[in-house]
Amino acid sequence: MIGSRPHPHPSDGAVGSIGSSAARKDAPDKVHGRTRYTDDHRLPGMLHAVLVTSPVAHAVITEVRTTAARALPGVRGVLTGRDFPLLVGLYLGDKPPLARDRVRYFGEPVAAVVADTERAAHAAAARVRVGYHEQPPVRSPREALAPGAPVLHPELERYVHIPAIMPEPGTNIGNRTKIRKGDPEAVFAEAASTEVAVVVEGSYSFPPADHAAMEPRVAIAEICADGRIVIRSSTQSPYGVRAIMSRCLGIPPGKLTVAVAEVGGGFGGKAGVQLEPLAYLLSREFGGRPVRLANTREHDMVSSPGAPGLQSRVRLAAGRDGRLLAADIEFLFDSGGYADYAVNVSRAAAYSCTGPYRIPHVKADSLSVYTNHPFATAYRGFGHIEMSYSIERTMEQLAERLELDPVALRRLNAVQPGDTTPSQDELDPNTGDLAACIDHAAEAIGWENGALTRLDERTVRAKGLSCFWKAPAIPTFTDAGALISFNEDGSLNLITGAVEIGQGIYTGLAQIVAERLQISPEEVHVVSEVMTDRSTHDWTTAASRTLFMCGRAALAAVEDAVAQIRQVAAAPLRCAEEDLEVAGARVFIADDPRHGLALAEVANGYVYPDGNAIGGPVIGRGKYIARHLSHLDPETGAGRPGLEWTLGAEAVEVEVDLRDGRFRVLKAACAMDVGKVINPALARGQVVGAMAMGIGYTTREAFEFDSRERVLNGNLRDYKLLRYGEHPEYIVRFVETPQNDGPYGARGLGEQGIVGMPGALSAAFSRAIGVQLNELPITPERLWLALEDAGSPDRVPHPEASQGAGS
Amino acid sequence: MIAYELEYLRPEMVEEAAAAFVAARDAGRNPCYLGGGTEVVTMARDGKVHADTLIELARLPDCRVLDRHEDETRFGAALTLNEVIEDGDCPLLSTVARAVADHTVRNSVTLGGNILGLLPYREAVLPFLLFDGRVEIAGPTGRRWELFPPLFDKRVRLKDGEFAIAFSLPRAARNAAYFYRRRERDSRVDYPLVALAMTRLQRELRFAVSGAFGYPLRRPAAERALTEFGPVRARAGAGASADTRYASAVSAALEALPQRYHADMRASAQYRRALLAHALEDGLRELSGAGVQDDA
Amino acid sequence: MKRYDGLLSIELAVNGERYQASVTPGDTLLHSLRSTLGLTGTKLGCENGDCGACTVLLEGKPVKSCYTLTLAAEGREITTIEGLRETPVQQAFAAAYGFQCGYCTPGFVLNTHALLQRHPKPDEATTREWLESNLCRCTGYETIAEAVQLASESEPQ
Ligand SMILES: Cc1cc2nc3c(=O)[nH]c(=O)nc-3n(C[C@@H](O)[C@@H](O)[C@H](O)COP(=O)(O)OP(=O)(O)OC[C@H]3O[C@@H](n4cnc5c(N)ncnc54)[C@H](O)[C@@H]3O)c2cc1C
Ligand code: FES
Ligand code: FES
Repeated sequence: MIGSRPHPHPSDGAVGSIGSSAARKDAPDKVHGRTRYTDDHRLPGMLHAVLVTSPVAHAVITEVRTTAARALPGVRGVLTGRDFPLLVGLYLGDKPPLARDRVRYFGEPVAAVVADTERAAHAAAARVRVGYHEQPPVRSPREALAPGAPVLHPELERYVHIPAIMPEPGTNIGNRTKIRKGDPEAVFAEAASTEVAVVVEGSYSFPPADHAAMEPRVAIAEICADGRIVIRSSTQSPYGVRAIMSRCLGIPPGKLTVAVAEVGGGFGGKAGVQLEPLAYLLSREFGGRPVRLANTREHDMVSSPGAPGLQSRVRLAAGRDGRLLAADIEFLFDSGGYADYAVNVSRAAAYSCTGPYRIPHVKADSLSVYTNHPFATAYRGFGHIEMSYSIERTMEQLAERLELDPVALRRLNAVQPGDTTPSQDELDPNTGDLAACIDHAAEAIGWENGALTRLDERTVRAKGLSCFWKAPAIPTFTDAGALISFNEDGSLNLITGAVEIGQGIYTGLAQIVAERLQISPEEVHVVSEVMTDRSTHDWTTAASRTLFMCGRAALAAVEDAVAQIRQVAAAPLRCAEEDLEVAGARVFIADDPRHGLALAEVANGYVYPDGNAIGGPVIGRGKYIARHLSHLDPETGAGRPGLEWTLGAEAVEVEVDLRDGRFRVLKAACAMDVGKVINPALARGQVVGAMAMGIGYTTREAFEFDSRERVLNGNLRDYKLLRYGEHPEYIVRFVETPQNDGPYGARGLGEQGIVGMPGALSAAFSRAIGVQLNELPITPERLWLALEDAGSPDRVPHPEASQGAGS
Repeated sequence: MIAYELEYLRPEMVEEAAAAFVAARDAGRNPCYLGGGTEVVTMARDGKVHADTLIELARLPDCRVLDRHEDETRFGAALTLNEVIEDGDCPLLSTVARAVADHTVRNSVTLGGNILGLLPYREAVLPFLLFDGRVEIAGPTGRRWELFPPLFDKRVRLKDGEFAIAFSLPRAARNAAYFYRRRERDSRVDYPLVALAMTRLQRELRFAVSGAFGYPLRRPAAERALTEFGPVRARAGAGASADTRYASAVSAALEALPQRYHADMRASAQYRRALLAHALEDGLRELSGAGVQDDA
Repeated sequence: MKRYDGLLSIELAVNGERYQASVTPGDTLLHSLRSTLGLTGTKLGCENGDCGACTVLLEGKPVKSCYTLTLAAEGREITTIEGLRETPVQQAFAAAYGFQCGYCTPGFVLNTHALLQRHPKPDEATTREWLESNLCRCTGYETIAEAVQLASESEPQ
């Protein structure tokens, strides 16, 4: 199906709800301010914790003076790194809950003040005095890899890590993923010596950035008298928090409950483990009293992790006809002071390193490198944005070199089923139709009407197109579960481990279940809070896999429930179980629907007229686990890392004022093969939101550092997000090549819309000013500078230049 | 939330407010007048200011006036920017105020707070500089009116304990032709890299700038340069083409301005300079354009 | 002259009701609403005036409660999201999918509500002028624009 703009009709949530924009289940609460986010919970006896953070990027801590802080009324205590001699980490245990002896980035927490009130905690935090002996900071991945660079984690060798990542002790490398496919060296050598092929090469970079979810991170931890620990947190990953905390802190998982209701935006920044371990440790210090550890916006931006920065280099060889022959790629991810998710982000960039193009010979090295920047975690797109940006920039240069139409070049090289990925995995028939997406994106943006138009002396409009692909970087054993129970009226309750972070997961899951049972999604009550002790296990709400996997688990739970219902109903209906069908809130004989019972009469046990009863509560159980995923070979990267590839193309049109570089993004189009659209409004919302984020990411969002690598713009006054009215016209088209193992053929779409934006926008801006732009963010000033350097005719009149002019 | 201890005073009269300031100072405190609080409250949270006595101005009747007289209009210092904008008595003031912060914030930002705040932009002062506006000052020694340009050097030179009660703009500000250009790094809701207010009073061009130099500024020498060289005077036209005359007027004006432009994470000095040059040129074109009537 | 110091009890007029609230002079309206009065619909996003998640109406006009001291709001009519019930704006945000995570929604709803009270049929420039005061990280603003449009069509004149 090629969708056009869906119009939400909240009333269409009737039977057959797949493909319709059913009303969002969370709408009434959200528009009335009734949704309870983590920080809306206040517990009796709750203490408030506030962080004291480092004002320098790299230093040895010489002393921490807390006397003045402790002296304030209402202060319960001040804890420092020395109090918690342990390391926590997602894949690599490298981070103390509070910095011990050394700080590795600006904003790193060095102490935590705990007080009766938020006010007292803030007042005391301002009185903690920390001595720092500053060290030269490591400013970029390349600097970190240079001989003689300070080694930021000398104990790397002793850190515990999962087998899938490969730190290199004695260096600043947290992980290195290698891709070795075919014989790229030979191709490049041949290209150098003959006329049949061309080689283009480029280097690209951008600084770290932030997720800037509107809800700052917060965790509230308490320890009950019997030793049970309850942590309420703004997390995308309640089961991940439980697993990591039990691994790093030795807590039996059954003793730890992580609870999360609604999350005010995640974008990857609330995956993994965040404030939870420290909140727990603080609660432990104070007899298990509830401790609320809430980030200020400034702490959320700088002290908690953001998006990695990048330095990359790409070399492509192609035939004169434009057919790609070989790639040689280096990605250096700036993971900042700690590894967190960045070591897996770099791995994802490796296995996807070519972008959605058929390239037979590939060599890639993707490294996660420690620097003295704020540390990095998962960020919407997860390594694929960085990858795509680097590849798409090089593709533009290749098109320029070969004088080929950039869209035609991409179409020529678009992957198809039967091609192999960089990890030598064959794309199966479930692969989407990239060529169709390219055509749609090009058509939507009006590519055929010209990619560059001069409006007047000063103003140009330019277009750019890029392709993207993404496969979730998930553990091979990523799972999801679901439980279904029934109410007296035959409506049902669905429990999963999926977290609502804005994506509308509960609405989507209700639609999937409702579709199977031919009932209204209104009849599917989704339990909108995850508690790890009573929900079903679920890896993490991330990687755009939740609708896919929880959807599969929910369908399995429905099947299980249906089987039980048939079994119970077969007796009173006096027929074979196989003859029964469940639909429309009834169980009935398939070939004679007149004979049947309402679900309400069987789902919690059937009662005969004489009072005898059979059955009992039906409990549908469903589960799903990723299929056929495997580890990457350490030497060649061969393996199957991702569940499914989502393919697509994006195109933009920008208008640039050549005099001062000011611009507007006029249009942004995305065509994506999503397999099957479950809910058009939800799907479009995800894509549009991701495109908006991509515009910000490309044009303004980046941390600014001073010469000592201190972040200058760690607040929303200085770090600029897109605002209302700055958004372009969005065009979204869905192609539906079914993902046959996805629920109703659906595949992931939550992150993908961001992936192609930096590439498409960079292409458009480069075209507009006639200079290849290989750094982000692309600000008006950067365009102006590039124009100045290129000797634009519209130069600013400098005094010297205009001397002698006519007076 | 301001975490440290502080007291909040709500005076009923101007004199009471001024006296409260002195009393607090004498008691060893660090008093501060409070307008809309958009700056004081956020900076106090962040530890950037440490005022421990806040003296509310928002409810003082004298600070809330909006009086249109024959020869001037008076704006109370505690009017919010949106109140000033909606009044619309001075179109340039409305236009300038409308670009500060965002609409919601402008329901709180006061005219006095913007002109006397700590941030270096103080955009609302630009019309007062251009039209030789006046400010009514209250202080320990009573009230007085002062003329803007002499009182203003990078900021309004108030003495310790003084505050602004009201501002006034002469009648000329009501219908003078003007040009306003504000440029931000990228987002509309941001501090200005350059804000240029320009007006033309008969054949004389005036302009004042914020953003470019780290403080608002009006330089008569630069205005003269613009007026001398520009097509306003020379419209009748000897010799050189208008374009060349614009360019030379702009460079002459730039030469008469400080040569040190502000540089920070938002923009480099050279970009600010370029934006100012563009703005001057556009302003000059617009105000010397044929459509503009001489206001005699 | 009134002098406020230490812990005080003041009266606040919120959503048409009178509340007696314990405050200190340094408390912001955001803090008093959420922590003292338990009106948690008002959200904290930055405490710096930048995001608009904390928007409330003071005498019908939107202000950001994070930089508004509670004492400055004393004696003024305060409207929070809890004070709006099934208004056309809320219905429009629900129907048009004008939210995702919902964290920015109370602020957007209140601001839009005030906008439409003032300009029942706002043109694009006016809508932008008002709504650029609030940040939304999820939606890319498309559906919010649709919600405003929808609400302005249904708002009683
Ligand atoms: C989201 C946001 C965006 C912003 N954008 C801009 C911007 O674009 N441009 C810009 O310039 N600023 C901007 N600001 C900063 C803005 O807070 C100040 O510039 C604002 O003008 C201060 O006004 P206020 O009434 O809130 O002052 P307050 O915070 O109450 O006071 C500020 C200072 O002025 C003093 N003061 C107040 N009134 C008087 C008076 N009558 N007499 C003497 N002294 C007085 C106070 O003592 C204090 O020192 C922005 C702020 C926010 C929150
Ligand atoms: S919390 Fe008030 S504007 Fe962000
Ligand atoms: S809906 Fe999440 S910030 Fe707007």
